[in-house]
Amino acid sequence: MGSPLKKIMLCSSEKEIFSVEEQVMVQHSVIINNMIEDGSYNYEESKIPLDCVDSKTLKKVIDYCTYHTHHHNDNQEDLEAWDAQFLNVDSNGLYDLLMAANYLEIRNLLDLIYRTIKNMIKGKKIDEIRRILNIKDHGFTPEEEEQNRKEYPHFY
Amino acid sequence: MDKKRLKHTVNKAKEESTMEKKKNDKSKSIHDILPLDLIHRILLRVPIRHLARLRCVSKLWCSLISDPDFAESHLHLSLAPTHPCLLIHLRDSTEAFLVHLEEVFNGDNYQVKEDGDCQHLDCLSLRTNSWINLDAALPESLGYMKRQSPGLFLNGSIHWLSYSLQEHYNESLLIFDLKERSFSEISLPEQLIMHGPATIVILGGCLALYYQDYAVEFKTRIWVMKEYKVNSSWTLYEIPCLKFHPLYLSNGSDIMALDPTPISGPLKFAKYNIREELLQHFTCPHLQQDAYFFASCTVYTESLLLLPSDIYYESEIIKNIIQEVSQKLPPEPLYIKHPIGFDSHLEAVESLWNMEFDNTICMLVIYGDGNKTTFVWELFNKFQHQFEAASFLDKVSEKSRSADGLENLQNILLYEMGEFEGMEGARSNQKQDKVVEEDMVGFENIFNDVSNDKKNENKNNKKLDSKLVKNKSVVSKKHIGQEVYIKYLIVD
Repeated sequence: MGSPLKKIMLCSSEKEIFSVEEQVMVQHSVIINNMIEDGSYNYEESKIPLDCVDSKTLKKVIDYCTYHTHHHNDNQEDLEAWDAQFLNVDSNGLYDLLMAANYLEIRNLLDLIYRTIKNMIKGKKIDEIRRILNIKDHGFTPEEEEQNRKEYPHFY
Repeated sequence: MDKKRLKHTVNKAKEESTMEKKKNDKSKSIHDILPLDLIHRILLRVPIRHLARLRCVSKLWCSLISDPDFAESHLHLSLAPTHPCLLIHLRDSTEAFLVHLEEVFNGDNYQVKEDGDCQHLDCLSLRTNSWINLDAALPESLGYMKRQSPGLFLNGSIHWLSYSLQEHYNESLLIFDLKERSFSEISLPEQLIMHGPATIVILGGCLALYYQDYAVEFKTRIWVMKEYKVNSSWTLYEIPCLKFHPLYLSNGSDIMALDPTPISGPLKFAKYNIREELLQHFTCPHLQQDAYFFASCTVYTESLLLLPSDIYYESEIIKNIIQEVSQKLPPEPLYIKHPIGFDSHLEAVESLWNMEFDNTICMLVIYGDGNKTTFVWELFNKFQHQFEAASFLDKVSEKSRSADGLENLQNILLYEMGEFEGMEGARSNQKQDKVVEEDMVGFENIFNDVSNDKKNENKNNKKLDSKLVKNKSVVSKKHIGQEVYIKYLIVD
C-alpha cells in the first residue's frame, strides 16, 4: 500500500492527465493496485494510460473512488443515496462507467452498476426494456417475434 | 463460452465505444456498446422469475440465458445470498407458497405463487448407502448428551445445539465435519442466559440461535454468529415480541422474520435492525396467520438447474413418449412362410397400390379359392409400413356372429388405428387410408353406414389389369366424408 500523500497520474483517452491520491485508486482498482505493488509505476515519470476511458468517465470514476475512500464510515443509507445520485446519468454514460469500472476492476462500482441496470429492466415489459436499453434490432425473425408475442402476451 | 471470442468482443467493443463517444450518438443500443460478457454478468444478477421474460428481449439475450453454463453461474452467484425465498408448505396440503423475501421489503411487486403437487419431497441418499459407526469420533465430554436439536448443514458440517442434563441451558454447539468425520464444539456467547429451549437456524449464511425470554422481558433474543467459528462475532438482536420466527439476515445486518403478534388475519412479516427498531412490516394477504402454525417454512435459493428428480421425471416422460409412439407404430409383421406362386398377383396389387388418390378410402376385394388369407398376410406385411396405422382383422364373418363380436372387432380396429378411447381421431384424416381386408362378408357390417349407391364409375378402371381386377363400384362413406374406392381382386 502506498502512502496517502503520494499521487499518481492517470491519462484518459483524450490524453488529459488526472492526478489522484494513490491510496484512493489502490483501494478500489485491482489493476492499479497490482501496478503499484509490482513496482512498475514510477512516481516521477509514469502516467497510467487508460486508452479506453474518456475524460468525462474517468473523472466520474475518480469521484466515486475518492468519495468512497473518505466516506466509508458513513452510514449505509447516506452512501446509497450518494451512489444513486452519482449514477443519475443517461444510459450511455452508465455503459461508459461500466466499461471503465470493468477495465480498472473496481468491484464496488461494478456491482453498483450491475445492480442499477438490473433494476432498470427488472419486472418491466419487453417493449419497455427495449426502449430503455435502446434495442432496435432484437435479432428475432418476424415469425419468432410473433410466436413469442402470441405465447407470452403478458410479457409485452 | 468461447473465451477468445469474448475477449475479442470486449476489445472491439471498447475501441468502438471510445471512438464513437465523440459523435455523442445517443441512439446506441446496449448491444452496440457493452461487450457480451458484461451483458452476461448483468443478466446473472436478475432473479430467476424475471429471466423467462428477458429471453424475449432479444435473440442475443435468449442465447445467453439459455446457455447451460448460465444456470450454473446463476446458482453460484445466488448462493451469495441475494435473492432469498421463503417456501411455506401447509401441512396436509398440496399447496405451497413462495415469498421473495428481499422484494417484499423493497416494495417490489411481490409474488406469492402456488406450486402444485409438492408433497413428494424425497430424502437424500447416501453415496455409499451405508452407515458408518462414529462412536470413536464422539468427544468424551459430550457423551452424556441426551437430547439434540435437528442438525443444520453449513460449511460442510452439521451443527446441533447440545443439551445437557446437568445444566438448564444449552452450553455449546456441536459440529460434525462431514469431510474430516470429526466432532468439534463452538461455545455459545458468554452473556447468553437461556430460560427456555433454543432453536438454531441459518440466517443469511450465518449460524444463529434464538429463544424466547418469558422470564424477564417478553422478547425474542437472536444471537447471530456473523463470522463462522469466530466466537467474538456473536451478535445479539433483541426483538420486542415473543415467538418471533427469524428467517433471514438482510444485508448481513437486519433481521427479517415472521411476526406472530397478530393471532389472526393475514400473515405478517417484519424487519428489525440491531437496535430493536422495527424498520418495516408487510402483510401477506394470501396466507392467514393461523395457517402458518401448521406450515413448515424453508428459506432457499432459486436455481435454473434441474433437480435430480426433474431429470428423473424427464426420463419418465421420454419413456412414456416412446411407449406411446411404439403403440402407434405398425405392429410386428405377421409371421408367414414365404408364399409360393403369388408373385404375379403381388405385382398386380402393387401396381394398384401405386395409384394416387387424395382423401380417399381404397378397398381391395379379393376373390378366389383357398390361400386368400396367406396372400393377404403377405400384402399386409408388404404395405403396412406405408401407413400411420394398420389393422389386420381376419375371420370377420365368424367373429361378428358372436354376441359382442362386432363391437370387439370395431374396438380392435379403432385401437389399432390409434383412435380408441379418446385418442385423437383427426390424425389420419388428411391421409389416404387403405384397409387391407380379407373377408368382405363382415366388412360391410363394420362400416355399416357404407351406402351402396353406385354412382361414380372409377375412371382409373381402364388402367388396371382387367383380368385380375374388376372395378365394381364406388361407394361413399358418409361418416368420414371421404370417397371410398373398392377394388376387387380375383385370386385363382
